[in-house]
Amino acid sequence: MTQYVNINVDGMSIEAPKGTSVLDAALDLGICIPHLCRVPYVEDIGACRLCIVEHVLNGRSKITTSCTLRVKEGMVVRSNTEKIIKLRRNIAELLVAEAPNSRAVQDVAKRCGVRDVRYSFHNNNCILCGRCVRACPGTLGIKPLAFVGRGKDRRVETPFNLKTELCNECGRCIDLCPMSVVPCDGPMKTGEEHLCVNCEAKMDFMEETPGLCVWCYFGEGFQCQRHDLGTRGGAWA
Amino acid sequence: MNKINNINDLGTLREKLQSYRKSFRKTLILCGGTGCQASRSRDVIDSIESELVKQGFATDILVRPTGCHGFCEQGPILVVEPDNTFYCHVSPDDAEEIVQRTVGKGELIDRLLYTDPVSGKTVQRESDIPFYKAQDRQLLAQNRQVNPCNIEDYIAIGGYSALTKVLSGISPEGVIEEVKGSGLRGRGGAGFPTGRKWEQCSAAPGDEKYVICNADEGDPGAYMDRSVLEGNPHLVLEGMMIGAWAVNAWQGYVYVRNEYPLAVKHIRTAIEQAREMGILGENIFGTPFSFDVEVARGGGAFVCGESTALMASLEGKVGEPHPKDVHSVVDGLWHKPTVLNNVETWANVPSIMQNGAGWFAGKGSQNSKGTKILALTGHIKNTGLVEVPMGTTLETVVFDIGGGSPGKAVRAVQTGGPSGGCLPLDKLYLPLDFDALAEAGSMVGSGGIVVMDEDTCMVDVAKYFLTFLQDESCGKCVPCRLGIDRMLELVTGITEGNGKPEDIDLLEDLAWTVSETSLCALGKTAANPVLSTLRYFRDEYDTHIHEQKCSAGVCQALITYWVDSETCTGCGVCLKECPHDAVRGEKKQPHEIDLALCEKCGICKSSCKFDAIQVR
Amino acid sequence: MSESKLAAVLEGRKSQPHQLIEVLQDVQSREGYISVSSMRDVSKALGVPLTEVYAVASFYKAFSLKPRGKNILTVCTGTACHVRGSKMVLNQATGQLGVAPSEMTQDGLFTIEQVNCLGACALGPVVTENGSSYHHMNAKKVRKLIHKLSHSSTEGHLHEQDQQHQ
Repeated sequence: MTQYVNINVDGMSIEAPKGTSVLDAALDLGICIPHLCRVPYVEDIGACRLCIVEHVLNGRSKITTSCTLRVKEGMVVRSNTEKIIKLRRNIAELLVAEAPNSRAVQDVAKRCGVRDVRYSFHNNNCILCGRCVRACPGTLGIKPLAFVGRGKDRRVETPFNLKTELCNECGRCIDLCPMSVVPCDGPMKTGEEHLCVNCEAKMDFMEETPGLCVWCYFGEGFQCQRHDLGTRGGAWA
Repeated sequence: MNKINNINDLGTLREKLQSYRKSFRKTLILCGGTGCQASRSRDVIDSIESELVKQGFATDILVRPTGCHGFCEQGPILVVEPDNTFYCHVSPDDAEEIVQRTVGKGELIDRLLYTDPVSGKTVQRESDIPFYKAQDRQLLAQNRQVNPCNIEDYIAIGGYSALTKVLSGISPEGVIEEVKGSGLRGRGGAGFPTGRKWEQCSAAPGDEKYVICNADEGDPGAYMDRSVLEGNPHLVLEGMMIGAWAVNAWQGYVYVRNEYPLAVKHIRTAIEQAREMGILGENIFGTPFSFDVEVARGGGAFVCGESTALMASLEGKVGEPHPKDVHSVVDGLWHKPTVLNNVETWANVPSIMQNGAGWFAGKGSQNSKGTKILALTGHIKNTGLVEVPMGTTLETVVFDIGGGSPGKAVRAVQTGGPSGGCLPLDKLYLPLDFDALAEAGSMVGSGGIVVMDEDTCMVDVAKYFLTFLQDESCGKCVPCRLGIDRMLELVTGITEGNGKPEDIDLLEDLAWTVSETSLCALGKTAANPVLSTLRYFRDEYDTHIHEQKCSAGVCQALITYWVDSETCTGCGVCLKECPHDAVRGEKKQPHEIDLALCEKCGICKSSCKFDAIQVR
Repeated sequence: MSESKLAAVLEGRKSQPHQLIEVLQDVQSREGYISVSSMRDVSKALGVPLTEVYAVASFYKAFSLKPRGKNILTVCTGTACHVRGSKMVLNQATGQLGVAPSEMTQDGLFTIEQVNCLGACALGPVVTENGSSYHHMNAKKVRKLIHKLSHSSTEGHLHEQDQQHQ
């Protein structure tokens, strides 16, 4: 028998199974909290920091990632305050300036409200989200992939950067990698990186109807469950 | 060494050791801390010992090599007891004279005495030296009374009596109440109330609990913990044992940074000796309390000073911090309740139990009790370790104790390491207080105080700390990894004369983002050096941006070396020394620097005896 | 790493994954660096997946995955040394030897390392070399030091006495 707890997200009271993260609980009910490094059913690490929310406790707000915050009876969480929106936008801006050559990263940035990028673009082909490392099944539980090095030097590698028998070429890492889907216009050359505006039309539509949230699903453009429910006369229009 | 089976035996042993120490006519105390060792204090100790044998004094003179005395600028240091005579800058060649005159005839050797820079007179006694006078050396004073590699010294001065007091009748709850009442706050930087931490761990469910001593001391320029651990390891052990009793832990760890080989050696020796005497192990002193300690070395990662990263490292993993929605007092090392405290925090515990909470709370300010050890370094006359009551003003520390900057004015004082901030001269009235300094944009941190004189570029200082943090960041979370990178890009651009006015706003926005959203304290405090320098030294950023000028003459891209033709004698030394052949000139004629070839290495400037080479 | 050396390092630590860092420390101090084969041996003996051994070895600064030079020049770049000019010392060393920190010179004689505080702040800027330490360094002194080390015997040691009288 699954036990449930009641939590409050953005003023709405929702039920969530005990032991789930606030992010999972919200997403299951169509409340979108932007995220990037999350992989369903795989350990959450709070690396991308996009899913931040304000956790209200004892009259004070603590900013924490909703993917690592376990639900507790009576918990109060806010995912769309002005502060959170601004912070999220800044983080997304950092991400897109680092790796503009990914449709998912561009989508997330646009969706989080990035309108211009104030940094020079780097053309990195890995954002170190760790999805590949965490989702890799490996062989008998031993993974061929790991984070190696530290800080600026951090990268995902196999031991000694050599082909290894531990990899059984299942392709899961490629499927999950945000960088494996390039912007619709194609890969951007160094020096020609820019903030992609192809989905502008869709974004404008969203801006016309504020209060709707967006749930980004990798490589599939924008899907809004809340929007769907709204047009069908659902509870959260 | 004999095993101590009960508390009474410890008392008996202590008395025996005390009379043994008193039986010597004189005791020569030599500082063997890492700082003095770098100045060959080991050789001094060896020569003194051989001279004593040569001159026939070996039997009635006790030689005690100790840990750091704190007055590092004056090392190697030798103190003669019971006279309390203080000799500084002692070299191995002085050994013969010291033994012959001071030991043999009780004479003072003037040239080895400390000279007070104000009065110009020599000072015989350590307690009369201004550097020591303004301090309250609760913890550091013990360093000179013990040889860290000899547990008997520690027992002789009363060591482990706080533990026996606790084991003789104070319950774990009683210990926690005492520590809470003392107001002790963590000395590692965060300043979390120690008693409350112990209480939370004690209340956490589970039979397996741990206590850890954080001796990672990553702040550059800070070596307080090293000196306590090197010089008085048993003090730390005793504190840990009392803490273990309080939370019901039977296993402890000391995590020492691997750049401290002497500290590692001394704590290992201390543990071995304690085990031999039965002070660590099963049924200590015949009571039901059992406890043992293991030493683990760090791998060279500043981020491992963060508690979750440290615990990961102890578990043999990569030192990456984890989100702390459930605190480590409930879910810590191997997911068990764990108390992690800093070296100095543990070191304060025995005296709190011995003298009572009220005694400790009687020192310091409203919310910051007790004393704090500080490492005073940088452009300061009296570099060294200083211990003062909390609440003492920075002014007192920098000027009365430190003696100010030699020959130049003080520009800024940096406190709290890479997580702290820079305070200008007009803020030095602030007290050494957790809350006061945090409000001013800095922090007490672990106790490192770096003094910077008027020739320091504050933008360069911000760049330095950002470079450090970029190097040490674990790289897991986006705000810290990318945010610090971009802040560094911006500040570097400013130091190279490519700064734009909008850069400041962007820096501030970035700094806000990094501090609000980073996963761990490294990221969260990474923006402090930038924010504090922007707050107090904004004009310097502006000069770099609008005038492409570095007034302190530090930022390489913005300075040029030039020869003052009026002072230059044409001696040709700079021409000879320049590795890039950038100096030209005839003998006895003023020389010139070819700016196209000059690499700004500074060798010419340091070679010039006439101070004729300037930087602008 | 030879069988006997490896056995000495692993004594009392077999099948204890949490001892990984301690073991790697000992390998590093005995061999001067951690080779691929050492990592494979350690992985087997401790029961830690090779991927993790590699991850740990590359995370911590104490471990070098490449062989290092005969003379390891360590420049302290802690805050106190920095404000006293350690950057110029480091620049001089890297410029003179033509290598970046942690890289080895072509002739295998030198590796320059940076460390964030040795705890001898009163004597800064500090440079250590294979156990000896040099104080109050500046660009000129380090240039002389490197020069002397390059031209001295294969043992590569400079007596500290010479430095003290600079």
